[in-house]
Amino acid sequence: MTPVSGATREVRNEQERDLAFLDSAYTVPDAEIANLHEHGWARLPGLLNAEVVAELRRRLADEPLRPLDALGKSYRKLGGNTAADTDSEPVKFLDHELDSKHNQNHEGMAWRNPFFRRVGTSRRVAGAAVQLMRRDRAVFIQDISFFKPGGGGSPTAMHQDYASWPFDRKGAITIWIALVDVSEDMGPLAYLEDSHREGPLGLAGKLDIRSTYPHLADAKVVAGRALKAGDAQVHWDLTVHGAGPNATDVVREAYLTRFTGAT
Amino acid sequence: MIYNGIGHPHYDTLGLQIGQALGENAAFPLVGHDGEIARDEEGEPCT
Repeated sequence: MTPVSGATREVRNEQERDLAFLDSAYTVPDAEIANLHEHGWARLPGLLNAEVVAELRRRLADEPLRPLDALGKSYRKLGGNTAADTDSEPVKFLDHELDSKHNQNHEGMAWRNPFFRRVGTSRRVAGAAVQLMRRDRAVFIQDISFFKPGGGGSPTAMHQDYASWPFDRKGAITIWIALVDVSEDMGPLAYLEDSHREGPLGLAGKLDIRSTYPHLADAKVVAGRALKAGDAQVHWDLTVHGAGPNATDVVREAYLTRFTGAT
Repeated sequence: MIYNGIGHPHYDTLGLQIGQALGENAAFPLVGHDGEIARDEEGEPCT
């Protein structure tokens, strides 16, 4: 066994102390839980502290980016398509995926790296998820980053997540955690209030879903405000959401965890 | 929540069977108010 130096042990102890924050409870205010159920979104200020955020950023820097066409290629596998088919025409309603200025993603880290699993299943994060869902148990189903590039990052058109996922029903939530301070000109996440009551509206790609469903133009746009690193926002799979362009030179970094009911 | 088989770069990798409930697949951690809930060898929550 390789001996561990005092300095190394001290660094490890320091990291453990920092990450022990993940074992602390986050009490979601009743008003935020009610807002999620009644209006489709919620705020979780200060969900993570600076140490956990810094470690997430450091670990993400070592993770591979998801290929831009990954979602479209997965779609084209349907029906036993050949390899040639999967490399052919992009899926029209996933055109946003191919825009490198739109978002860059890391995905599924918690399924290959124990640190990310610790974050996603922590009392801090998972405990907040079950409170929000008004459940005693849930299932941690996905983690993914959304990095909107600086220097002209493209806007994210208003859309629902549900249409991109392989599930038979609604009911999943996303906890969107800012990893940097996000100003209003960096593309913070905004929602169409009460849109989680709309039912599934289909894939939208770069098309703002309000152009297909004009009545949504009357929906109030909420959130979209500045966030501090470690602050989070939450939405349902049917909540229509999007983001403005990133007009700054700073990458808008976010780490997302997703949960659904266990039954 | 049941997996319906539509292609997805994350869910394609986790051994899901079409028609399987996500909560029944041990690839997905069960969580509660205090964090992860351990599963037994058959994938059932240890209580």
